[in-house]
Amino acid sequence: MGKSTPSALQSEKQKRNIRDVELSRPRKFFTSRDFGIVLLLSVVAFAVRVQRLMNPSKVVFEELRYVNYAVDYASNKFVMDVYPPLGKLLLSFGLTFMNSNPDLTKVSHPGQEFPSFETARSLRLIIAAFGSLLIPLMYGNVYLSSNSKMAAFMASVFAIFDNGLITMSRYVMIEIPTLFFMGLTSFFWMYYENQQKYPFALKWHISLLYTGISLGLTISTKLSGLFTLFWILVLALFHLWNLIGDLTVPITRIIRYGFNYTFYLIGVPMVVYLGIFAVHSKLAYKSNIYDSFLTPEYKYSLEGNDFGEEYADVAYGSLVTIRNAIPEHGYLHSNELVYPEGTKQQIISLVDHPNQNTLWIIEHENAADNDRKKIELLKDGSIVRLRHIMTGRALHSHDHRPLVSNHDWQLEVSGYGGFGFEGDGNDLFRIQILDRPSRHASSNGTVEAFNTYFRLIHVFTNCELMTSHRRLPDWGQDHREVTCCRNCIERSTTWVIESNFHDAMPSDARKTNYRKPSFFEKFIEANKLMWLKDRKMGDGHEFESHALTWPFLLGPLRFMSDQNLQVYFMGNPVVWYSVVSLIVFFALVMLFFAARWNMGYNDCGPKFYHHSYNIGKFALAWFIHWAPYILETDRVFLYHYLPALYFGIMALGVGWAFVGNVIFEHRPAFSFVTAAFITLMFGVYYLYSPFTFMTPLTQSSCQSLELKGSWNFRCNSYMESLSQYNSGIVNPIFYEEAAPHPFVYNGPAENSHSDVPLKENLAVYYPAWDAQVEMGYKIAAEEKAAMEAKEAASAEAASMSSDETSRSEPSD
Amino acid sequence: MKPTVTDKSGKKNQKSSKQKGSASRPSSPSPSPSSPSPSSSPTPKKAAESSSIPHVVSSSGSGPGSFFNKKLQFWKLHIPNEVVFDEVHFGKFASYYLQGKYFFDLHPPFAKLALAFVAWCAGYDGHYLFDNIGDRYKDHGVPYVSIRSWPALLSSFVPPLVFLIMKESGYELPACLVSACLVLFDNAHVTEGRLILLDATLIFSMVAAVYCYVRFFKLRHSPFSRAWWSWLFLTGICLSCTISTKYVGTFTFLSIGLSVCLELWYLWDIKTGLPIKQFASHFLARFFCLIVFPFALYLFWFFLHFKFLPTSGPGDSFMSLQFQETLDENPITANATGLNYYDIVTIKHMGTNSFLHSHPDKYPIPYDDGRISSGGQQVTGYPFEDDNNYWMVLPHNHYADPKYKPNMPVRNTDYIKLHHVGTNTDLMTHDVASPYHPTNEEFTTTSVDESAGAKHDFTVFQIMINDETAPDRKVFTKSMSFKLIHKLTNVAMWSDPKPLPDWGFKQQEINGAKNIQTGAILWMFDDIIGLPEERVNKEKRVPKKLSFFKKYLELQLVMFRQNNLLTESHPYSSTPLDWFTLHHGIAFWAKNEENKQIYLLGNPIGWWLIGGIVITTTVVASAEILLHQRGIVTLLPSVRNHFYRSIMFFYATYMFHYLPFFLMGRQLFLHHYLPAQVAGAMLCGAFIQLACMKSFHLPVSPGAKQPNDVDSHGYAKSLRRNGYIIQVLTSLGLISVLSYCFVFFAPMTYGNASLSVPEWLRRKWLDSWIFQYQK
Repeated sequence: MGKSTPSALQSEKQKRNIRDVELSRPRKFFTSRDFGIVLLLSVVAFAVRVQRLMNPSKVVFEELRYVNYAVDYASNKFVMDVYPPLGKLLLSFGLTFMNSNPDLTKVSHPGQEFPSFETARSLRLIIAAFGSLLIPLMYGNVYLSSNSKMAAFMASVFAIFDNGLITMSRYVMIEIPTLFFMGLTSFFWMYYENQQKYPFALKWHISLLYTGISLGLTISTKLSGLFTLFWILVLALFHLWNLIGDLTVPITRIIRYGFNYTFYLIGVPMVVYLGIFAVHSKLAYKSNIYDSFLTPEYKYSLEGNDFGEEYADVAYGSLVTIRNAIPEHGYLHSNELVYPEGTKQQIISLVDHPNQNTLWIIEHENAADNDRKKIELLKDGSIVRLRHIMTGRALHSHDHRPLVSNHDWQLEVSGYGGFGFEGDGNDLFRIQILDRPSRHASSNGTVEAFNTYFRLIHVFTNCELMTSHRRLPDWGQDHREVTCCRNCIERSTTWVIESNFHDAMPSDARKTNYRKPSFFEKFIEANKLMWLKDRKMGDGHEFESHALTWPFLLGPLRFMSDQNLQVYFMGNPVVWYSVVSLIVFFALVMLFFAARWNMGYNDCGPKFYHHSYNIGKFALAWFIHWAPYILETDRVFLYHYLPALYFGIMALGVGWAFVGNVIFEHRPAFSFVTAAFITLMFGVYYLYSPFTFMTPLTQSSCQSLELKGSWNFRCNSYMESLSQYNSGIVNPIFYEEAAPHPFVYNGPAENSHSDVPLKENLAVYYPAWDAQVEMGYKIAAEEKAAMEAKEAASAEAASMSSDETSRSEPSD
Repeated sequence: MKPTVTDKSGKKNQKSSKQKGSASRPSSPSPSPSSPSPSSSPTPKKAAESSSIPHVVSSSGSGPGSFFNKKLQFWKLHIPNEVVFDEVHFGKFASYYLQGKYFFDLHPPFAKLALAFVAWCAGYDGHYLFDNIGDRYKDHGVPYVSIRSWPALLSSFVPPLVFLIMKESGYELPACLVSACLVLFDNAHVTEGRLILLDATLIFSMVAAVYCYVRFFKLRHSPFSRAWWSWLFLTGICLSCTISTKYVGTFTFLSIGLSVCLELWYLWDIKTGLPIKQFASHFLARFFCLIVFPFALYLFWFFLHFKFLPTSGPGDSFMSLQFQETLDENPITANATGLNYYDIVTIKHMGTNSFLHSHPDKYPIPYDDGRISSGGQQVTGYPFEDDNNYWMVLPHNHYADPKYKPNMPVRNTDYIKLHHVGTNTDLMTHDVASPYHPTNEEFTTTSVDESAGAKHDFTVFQIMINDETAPDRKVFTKSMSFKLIHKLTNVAMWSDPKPLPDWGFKQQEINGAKNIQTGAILWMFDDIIGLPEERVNKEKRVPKKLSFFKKYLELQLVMFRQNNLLTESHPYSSTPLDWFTLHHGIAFWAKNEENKQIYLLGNPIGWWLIGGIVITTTVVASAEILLHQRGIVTLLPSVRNHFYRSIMFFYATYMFHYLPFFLMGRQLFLHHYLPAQVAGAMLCGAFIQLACMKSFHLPVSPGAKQPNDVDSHGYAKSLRRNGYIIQVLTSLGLISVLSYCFVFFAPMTYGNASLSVPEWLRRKWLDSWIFQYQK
């Protein structure tokens, strides 16, 4: 295809598809002179980014997370995060590569002095290197799309001296590596667009393959890489759309294009993404603090987990712990506390770790059937009474609304009865085995520890035992609430038995444990977790800002303030405002010409289409990397705008080439205007650099830099004159808090830790239990005798309704 | 999507008509001599329906549908005689209207006002509050049958309207009947439409809006005629009612709005040949009738809402103090007292209801994370009554001129000092990081001596009454909220509910926030301690006035805010994907003893059919677009034109009422799908005609030019032989299956029949449908 194909249909094609984008622009790239320029620019960029690199040598903002991740990977510990692993893997590789004997101490809070200067410096150097590599990519992207060296040079210089890009390139966060892969993707795609003269040639395939690989790397670093994927797919579809309209291109060839695009732009990134996960799970195989949100199966596959083997079969009389199917919800628990209002019966809740208060014994419906020497297996439909072994109360539900989840479809769950008092029919639950998540070893419908997932259905009210997503207040020690729910089909009504002990079980009885999941199951679970957590990260952060304010640079983000010096994340106003003006102007021009076109004027030649395609594709990238954040209100920060800005600078470069081409027509004046523009930009960069490099500034010059009220630099924390900086007066340190880690549970600590190691000593509880039960019956019998004696004495004083007494709460 | 690809054929037609020199506004019959005039005798198989100019609709078509529907909607309206599901809410709101007690709800007032009006007409006085699902109406004397008859009436107009929309859009009788029956025999529509809920009003106004818009669109060849204006105006009214019922009405606005925009774009086209002036009047007519006027009507319902709710009620706490003061019998006005200097007061934080508190304990000098505090006395928020909550309001120059001046009122924007009575210290703040927020300033107190001397500037605060700038306004307790701004560093006193560690006794942190514009910095003087008897106000206070727009804006903001807070999970909530496949329904009401229940569930056959046709239409339309770009003709120009203007309009309406739910964070329920389902029903009928006949009777709009590619009977030339018979048979088959299925599921729609367990099990087609019955 392409313009140069000599064909009789050529003129027809031109007539039909005047809007077809001229994709074939064979161009020689990277002559030695270009190479020199690019090298020079990169060196300058690197020099700019590493000056005063270890100032401050303290943990800044989210460095807290990434430094710890790198350290975890280096010591092969499991890491879970809302971002895919590549960025952290790179940091970790860099750490071990650049230090022969790295210091693997973790950091605990922002503002803390780094435990090892060298380790921190090597991590920051990696980021700075990535930050400098953005510059050649910028040059290549703009040059390939505009064929103007001047524009490419200008855009690169803008990228070098943007304070925002510099700031992010100095600290250990993964924004810049992501941005590097985005730029790489874009570069290969632009290179691919230049290969249209010889479609399906080797170079064509290779450039497309590289696009796919770098797309995969982008997505494996941060999920916002999906925006880049979307952008590239839009461009590819646009190309296909034009091909479909071009009648000179045979259908088979279009299908071939479509096939290649699918393979390279969707298939290859997926393989890369999977591959990165494989590396991740090969490297991080040791159990770590982040696993509280994992399913126990996943946890079990990590080295150093604390699951032991248990008897497979569950029978009446078994001593069990019961876990909710939602991993972070924990174990069914009770202790002596009672609900403060309403029924005032004993609280049932969930705790995160098993202890002796999470032990339950499975009893028959009728107490007479209980025989601990016999083994009768639990089946689907078995009716059970679950008795709490430490307090003797049975799991109970009744027609009262719970105190916390006070809804009409939920019922309170409590502990009822006691040693010597069996309880009533409201203690009975029916076991319903769920086929779906259950993995039976045998298919005879019995309950098996670890592998059988079941519901507990209250027999009288037909409601299902569930955990709400809420926590009990202080009176419930902040544990998770347990209620009984009518018609709930959520996962929170599903339970599984974890510890399982029966003293009549023969010692050679079948034992079992969780099944180790395959790589794909782990992959799917980790991705699900990432998505769900990413969507609801909960607590907001004080300095998050709304995406609509970003292009206009309304509020800089303060990273740190230390010893009368400050670090702000803020862009170079000239760069940021030029980008947004260009985009708004471009959109208006497009709208104007569309209206003109509809009015019947056709005054846009191929040259116009050519340029507007090239500006438009970067403007589109700007939009795609920015607009989704508008809908997001949680935990979005100013620096999330950087990818959009980076593409915006490319659009600016191409737009500048258009100005040079159309308005100045390559006259020398163009060079002067460009130089003036760059000088202005550089001057502004220099003015704002104290906020970037944490260098001294006086209060008065700080105030003069505050062009907008909303910028709000805390000028008071600077000294009044520069000479004071030598006198050693320091203000206390301020730092920005990093957001709470999404995968570390930081709720209240357990307050009922057992001294007895639970797993080894389950048998201990049986004799104690028997003694207590016996004692309970004895006391109950005595009380009953006393009662009867009393009743006989009072001789039918009143006609008590026996119903009422038996239904009321037993006194103990 | 109507005039999407305002395809070349349309434009060409216009052009050719001009070239032929006929009237540029083709109100006369088509000039082409070969095609018959629209009123020429129809073929017998078309029967009476398509007989004449399409906008004259035979009443016989809508008759039976309407009758059946009334029968279906009203049948057994008195069952169940208990409160069902959300009747709890909407019945309660009607009662509040009748009592005049102010309440708060997320939905705009129109439909609720209508319900209250009907209840009032039925002689109900609003004494019962619909407390629990399953309460018996008879015990409370509520004329529930009369109230339910209003939604039932509106709901029974929906299928006839659907029929008319299809008729007006130029479809054959079977297509119209299929569309109408998909709504008529839909269990979910019947269930929702016969109870005291808002959905009947919503769907009725939505369908009516679409109907009016179709009528309006058909008159595009005689713009600015009387009929044109009326239908445009009526569209506006119906749209307004839709959005005044529930905010999902916005989607109806969007569907019609998109179509209007595309129409305007078409009018702007050079080939249409409109002078700019005429284009402007087109634009302004639509702007006024579809935006300005509906909005005014929308505001009118709010006006009535405030008018009918003059008394303080359960909704007070959602509103600002200013708003609450406008209500009769509100506790605030009754207890407000003017504040004087040297009064001892308690000061309450508005967001968390904690009192400003201080005690002799100090901030720990190094915090756990190593940062440094000033080590000053703690200032915290404490939610309970305590002597340490007492503060004395001092004038800022008190120490310079320490003379007690009695009865000197505190006024807005005054500079004051707050003296903590319990520890004999003064409140201050300074540029030291607070315990949890390094960016905020620490609040502490300082001794009287220092307050008089070195730290004077640190202890001066300014009172700024919220939304009040007049400096001479007196400060009252209870009825005013204010910000306390630090004079020296310009921070506002702010509180965060996160409890401090043990050193702070788990009390709330109080600090100085730099952002002095947010809502969390409002405080209120709560009580004056030891208020002398003579200052207690005895006479009855008159509620204050507030302009309507201020009230409206406030209520609107609160509604949006509350709507976004509705994220808690609900066992009956579902996701949009569940609706498409009818994955599960909602248990509305059940009587376990008799094995009766009402379970909201659509007609499964109908819903699955709609789902299938939506997918098919997507595929067909994308394929057509691709082939067209390739220059391959699959549809005749006139059929293509109709496809994009009419079928894709229904499609877009469906999508606009369905897709946005994927983006919503709040709880969603099955009945949110009903508007989309109605649009889907219309799409179904239209698509079935396209599939069976491959043709339409054209032109649909009066005054439009006869297309070139229609045969002598007015059908597009692609008409399939026996296509009409195929369509009639398909439609009959479908309708009978639908009606059978409706009857089959009717017990759970009406809740009137006790079925045995096997009978319930037979109806449980999907495992995820949870019926309640006792074995």
